[in-house]
Amino acid sequence: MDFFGRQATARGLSRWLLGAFAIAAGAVALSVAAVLTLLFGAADTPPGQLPGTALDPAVFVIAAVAIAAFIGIASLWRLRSLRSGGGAVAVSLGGERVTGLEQDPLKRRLHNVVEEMAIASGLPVPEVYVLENEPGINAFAAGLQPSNAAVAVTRGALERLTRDELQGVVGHEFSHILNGDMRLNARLMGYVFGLVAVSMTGRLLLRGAALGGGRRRGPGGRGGASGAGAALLAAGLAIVVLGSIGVLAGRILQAAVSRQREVLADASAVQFTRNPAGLADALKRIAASPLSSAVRAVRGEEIGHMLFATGRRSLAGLLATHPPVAARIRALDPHWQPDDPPPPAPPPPVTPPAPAAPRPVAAELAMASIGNVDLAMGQHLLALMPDALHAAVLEPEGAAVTALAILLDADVGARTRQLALLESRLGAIVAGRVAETWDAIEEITPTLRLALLDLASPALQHLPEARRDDLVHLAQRLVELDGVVSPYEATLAAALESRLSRTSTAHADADGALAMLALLARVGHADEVAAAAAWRHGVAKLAAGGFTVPSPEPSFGVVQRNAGAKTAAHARRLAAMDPPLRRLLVATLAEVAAHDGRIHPRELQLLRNAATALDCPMPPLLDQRADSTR
Amino acid sequence: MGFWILIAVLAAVVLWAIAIYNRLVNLRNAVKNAFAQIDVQLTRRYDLIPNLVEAVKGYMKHERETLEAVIAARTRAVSGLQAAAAHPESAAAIAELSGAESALSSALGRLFALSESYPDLKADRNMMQLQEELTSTENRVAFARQAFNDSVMQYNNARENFPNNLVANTFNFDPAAFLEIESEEKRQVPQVSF
Repeated sequence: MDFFGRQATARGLSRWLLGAFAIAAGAVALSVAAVLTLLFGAADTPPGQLPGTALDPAVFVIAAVAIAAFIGIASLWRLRSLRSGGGAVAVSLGGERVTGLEQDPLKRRLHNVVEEMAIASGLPVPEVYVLENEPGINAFAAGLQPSNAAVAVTRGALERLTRDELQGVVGHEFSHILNGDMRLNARLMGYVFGLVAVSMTGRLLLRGAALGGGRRRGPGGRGGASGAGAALLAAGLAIVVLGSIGVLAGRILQAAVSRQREVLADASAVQFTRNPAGLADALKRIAASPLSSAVRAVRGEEIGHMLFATGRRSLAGLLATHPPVAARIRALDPHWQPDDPPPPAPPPPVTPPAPAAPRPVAAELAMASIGNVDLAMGQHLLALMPDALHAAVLEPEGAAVTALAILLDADVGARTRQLALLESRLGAIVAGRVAETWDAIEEITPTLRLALLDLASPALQHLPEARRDDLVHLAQRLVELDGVVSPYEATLAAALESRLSRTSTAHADADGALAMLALLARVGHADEVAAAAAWRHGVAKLAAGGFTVPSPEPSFGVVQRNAGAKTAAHARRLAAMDPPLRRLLVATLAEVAAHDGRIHPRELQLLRNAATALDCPMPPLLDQRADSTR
Repeated sequence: MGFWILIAVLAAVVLWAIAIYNRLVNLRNAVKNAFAQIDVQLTRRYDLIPNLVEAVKGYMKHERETLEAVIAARTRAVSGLQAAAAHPESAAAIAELSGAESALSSALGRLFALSESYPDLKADRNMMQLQEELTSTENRVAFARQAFNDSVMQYNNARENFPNNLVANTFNFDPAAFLEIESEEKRQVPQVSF
């Protein structure tokens, strides 16, 4: 399918149709002006003269310009009212936000599909919504700019479409976003509204004339309306008729544009997914039961034009917003016949069995599991995560509170001082919330705490930049408050920091890296000598890989003394290193941890924290080694 | 007079060469940037595979060879990716990554084919999620690859056109390679044994 050619055609056609719109609006303005001039000219004509001889061309021009301006202002006013973000529109129709962290596998799949299409179309990932109360198969895009766009899908589409079909449908909506169809539609709606306003004015005039005529006829009884009253009546009638013709023409043009855009969107969906069968099957499923694309919540034309398939059955012919489903299917699959059986239904969603209780992890298995860091945590541990905590980290404020609570000390005295600091910086209410959250966090294991930080990171990204900087600063103060930075605290603070700041520099931060190595070496080895040997091994590896180790090489004793504080302080620089450098550092950390041949659970936890801090959860050499030892 | 004309012509030629040079640099950077997008998705894929092996291991006790093949293919692909990430414009590195990725895809394909005969495994919640994540990641790789290949084509076209090729050859703009990932299944007739 020639995507670019069709896009050019559609753009050209849209321009042409917009031109037609301008002509229609102009024609309405001119004809209404002509009628007005004629009527009032006739009414003002002195008796004895023929009507029309007193017509003033200036009156006509002024009336035409005034009416055109009126149409323009009404259009702009309507356009302004349409300028809300896509998310707000979706919510107003009963949409629920999907973040991709849900337990529901169907929602996760939807979020994945949307992200895939964002990559395929080169657009930012829009907000995703599900219309939970809609059993029909449909979807829409909303939002006038790609940056505030939203994609919403009905529950019916979620459950009754296969993955490929859903991808086709979402690809179709992405085309609306990419081609600016929502903006075009809003503009057309504005223009149509301008014409509607003209006919509404006519209706007002009619009512005024009827009232005025009635009043005069009631008490006066002079018989018949005055000439001006008759003129008002005639003018109102003429404006209503002309305005309505304009509105009808406008609606027909708007629907024509919309149908073109649907054809284009189908073509683009195929372009994005490279799979015509998916989209065709989705349409066939809709064709198999005519009401299955119905959307109850969608009434207005605002969204009606952006739906995947028509939401109401009644509109057909010139005013249809979508081409007939059969025609759309045949464009994708020329051999299709309307009485072909629909594609086989997708397997019903499996109700997931209750997650098994976690098995205790043997020491040597721990090493094998190190590759699982990021996703396995999200997945295995999600089931163990208390719901209240999970819910809290999905919104930015809750995530910030949780992040601070994770850093609180287990020791009561230290914790009290930390909370006092928080109270002085953030106020009693926030400090109270942090303390409450700590109570919940105390119940869960360190692994879960790290996973919680992972869950919180998308919401943390939504905080304003200044707040994020504040949070990082506060986290460091919390960790350093008791004068002792434990390795666990240091790496956790580092992990938080890497979640909050994403600036990229290429420099290898040898200082921070050496401190981090020392931290791990100290925890993982029984005596100082073994730890120093492991550390030197790591330093040599880093030096070989491009880190500039200061010369003469600092002694392990010196580096390890303030390793914790230094790691926390250097977290941002470490996380901002180029990916190969970070990967090298994680691999080296793993080697240092494994230098004495075993990895303690405590070491493993540290290693995981550090890997998360470096945003680099996969040390490649570890699973190889784990494999060979088994 | 003639001297000044000569100077003007020389200056025009130099300016023109600079423009070509800058355009080539921009396009080469676009190739690198497009590769960074693939890099993210491929890394995600490699991160998922140990989880998959872990999830499958308990069920498929007699398929050690298949699992080992997947792990070996992953290791090769990881190092291929590292090499390619360092030099996305190097045709050799991309070719090695293409080969490693194809091998990994076919190893995974065998694993999934085998998993069909383990009903317990298919119903495993973890496995279902992993399968969804892997499918999604493979789609992302495919879509990111389209963008990468498009930018490679633009760069190569700009590099080979006359007179750009004069500048390109003088300043060592090497041709970039397409990233083609083919699973062996696509090329081979499936063998069915009874």
